[in-house]
Amino acid sequence: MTILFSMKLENTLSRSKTFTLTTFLTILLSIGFLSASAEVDKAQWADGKSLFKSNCAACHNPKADGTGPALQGVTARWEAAGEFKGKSGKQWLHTWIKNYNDAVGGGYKYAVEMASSRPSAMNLFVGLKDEDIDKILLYIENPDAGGATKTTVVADAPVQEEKGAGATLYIFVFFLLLLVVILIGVTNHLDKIVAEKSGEVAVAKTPFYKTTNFKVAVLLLAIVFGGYKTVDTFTHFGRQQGYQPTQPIKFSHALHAGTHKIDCQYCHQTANKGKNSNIPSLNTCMNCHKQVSKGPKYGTEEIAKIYAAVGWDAYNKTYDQGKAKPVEWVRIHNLPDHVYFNHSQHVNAGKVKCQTCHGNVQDMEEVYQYAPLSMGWCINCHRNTEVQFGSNNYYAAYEKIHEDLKNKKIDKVTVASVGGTECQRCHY
Amino acid sequence: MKKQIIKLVPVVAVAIMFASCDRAGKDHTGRIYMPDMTYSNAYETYSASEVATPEGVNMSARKPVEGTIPYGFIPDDVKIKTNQALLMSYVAKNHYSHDPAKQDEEKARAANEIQDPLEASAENLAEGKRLYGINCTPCHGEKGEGNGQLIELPSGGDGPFTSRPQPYKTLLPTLKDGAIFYSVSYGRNMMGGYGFQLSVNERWQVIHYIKSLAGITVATGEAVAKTEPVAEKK
Repeated sequence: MTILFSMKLENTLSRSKTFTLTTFLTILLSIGFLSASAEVDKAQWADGKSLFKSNCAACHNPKADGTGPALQGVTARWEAAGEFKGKSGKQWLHTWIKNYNDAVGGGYKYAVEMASSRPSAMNLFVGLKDEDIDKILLYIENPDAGGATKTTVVADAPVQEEKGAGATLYIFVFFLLLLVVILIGVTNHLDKIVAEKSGEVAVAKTPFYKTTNFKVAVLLLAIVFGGYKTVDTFTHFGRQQGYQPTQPIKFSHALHAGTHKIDCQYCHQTANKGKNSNIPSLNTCMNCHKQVSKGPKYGTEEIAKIYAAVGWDAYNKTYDQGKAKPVEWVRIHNLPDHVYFNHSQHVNAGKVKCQTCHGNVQDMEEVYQYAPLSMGWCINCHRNTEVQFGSNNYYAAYEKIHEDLKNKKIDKVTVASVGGTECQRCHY
Repeated sequence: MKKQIIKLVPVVAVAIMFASCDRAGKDHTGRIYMPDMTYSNAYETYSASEVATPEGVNMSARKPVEGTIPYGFIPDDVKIKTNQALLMSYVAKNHYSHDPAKQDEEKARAANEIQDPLEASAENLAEGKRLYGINCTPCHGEKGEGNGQLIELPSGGDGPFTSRPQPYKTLLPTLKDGAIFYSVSYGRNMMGGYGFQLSVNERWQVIHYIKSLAGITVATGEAVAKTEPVAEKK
């Protein structure tokens, strides 16, 4: 375009103005170049992106700090460091990318500075051509030019479970009763009017609440309702189903286990090894949060609490153990002291899914106790759950039961049939 | 009318009494018969201690006394000739630094010092696959191509974790077993160490699996002979 335009110009303008023309051309060309670079060549950009992903992305990201620094603006930074030994800053950057030792050894001041800024040295990319490096730099400076890239995920807020169902029912019943009372009043009133109209003398009726039937009914209702409520209240003593304490850090299981599909045992890895399933140590958090310092909902606020507790300096990327202090998570599931429960037995031998007892934690923004953890609840499950006798090697020792199964003396094996309802299994 | 209202008072009072039996909010644990049976007097896992350490830490979990050996530990002894002994002796003998500044030299040291002691077997590979699925796929991806769900969202965008792991196919052939073991245990660059999450045995199982992903045959089990004493092997 620019060239065509200048050709036309050349034809129309006289040769005496060559000098001004050249200047004009230069300006035009540079404008053309500028506009081209602002738009970003799609093919070059895509090449640069794939080259970046295969060569650089293990340590670098255009926008985020990783093993290596965030790279956007790197060309400008090297350019700003100036010319040295006849090579421009950008040429020195090319040298650095291919083999950083050459740039440092060449004595370029900025390269020496960069080499000592990080604990880990950069890999060598001697095989990269200059045009490839240009493509990579094009991607680095315009990481979003592809359009479809998103750096953060906005998790859909999980729909809170309707817990007010009981209250609505009470209100509904109340209004129905009110309606009954009103209707009784209306019929009484109408009766009166009819009686007056027909000229009959109204017989003094005993009001309905003084009749024996009514009194008996109320008494019965009181006994039934009161009795139910009393028993119900007492059975709920010592149980905390639905307990949903506020935790010191607003950790969202819905985001980690739901949106990002991280396995439960990534963090709670002792669930299949020991009696207790562990509360993850902050070390586990830092596996990812060394890099991910901003969440989709609370921004940096909640993750900063992890950093504070573990003594991590996010700027210098160093730990200070002196500043570390434990996070006081609030325990949700608590069994009385006289009950023995072992996670590994259920997870490892029984192959019970976490969700069976803990509910759909992957949908919980804030975790609550899903199961009642009552003895009846335990026993029911032990009675009804069939043991995977055929596929699970753990039960190979139960020879008699295997024989009975073969001879079709029994058709299924539940936890109870291998002693799962014996008192001493859990109380000893 | 007035009398009726007075009669209503006890009814309302009883109703309020019943209503107050309900739990008070989500932060409330409810009532219990015998607190000393529900809440253990002995320290339970993660419970706070009444006595704090001189440093002010009131966790009931304390660091073991110096010289304590872990459960299942087999000392490095010439008389014990099992792979298990070798596995465990790594924990005791090879202390490497967590300091990121020393990463390169420590990794080089591990590459020279550590050999793969685990037998190549189908069970080890299967267990390695299971553990890989739990611990590694979020970043390294199911096939070890470095495109796990935290790196590339299923929807196609970039995930929250911005450091893309190198594909095993290009990375692993360049590394010695000891170097891989170091990286898995102590972490490497932006990857965290999994020494806290996976036992020594489990780490080798995972290494066997990722090698199979990279198309490398695991030629161990022969490298460290079962019958040979550990001390002589060194």
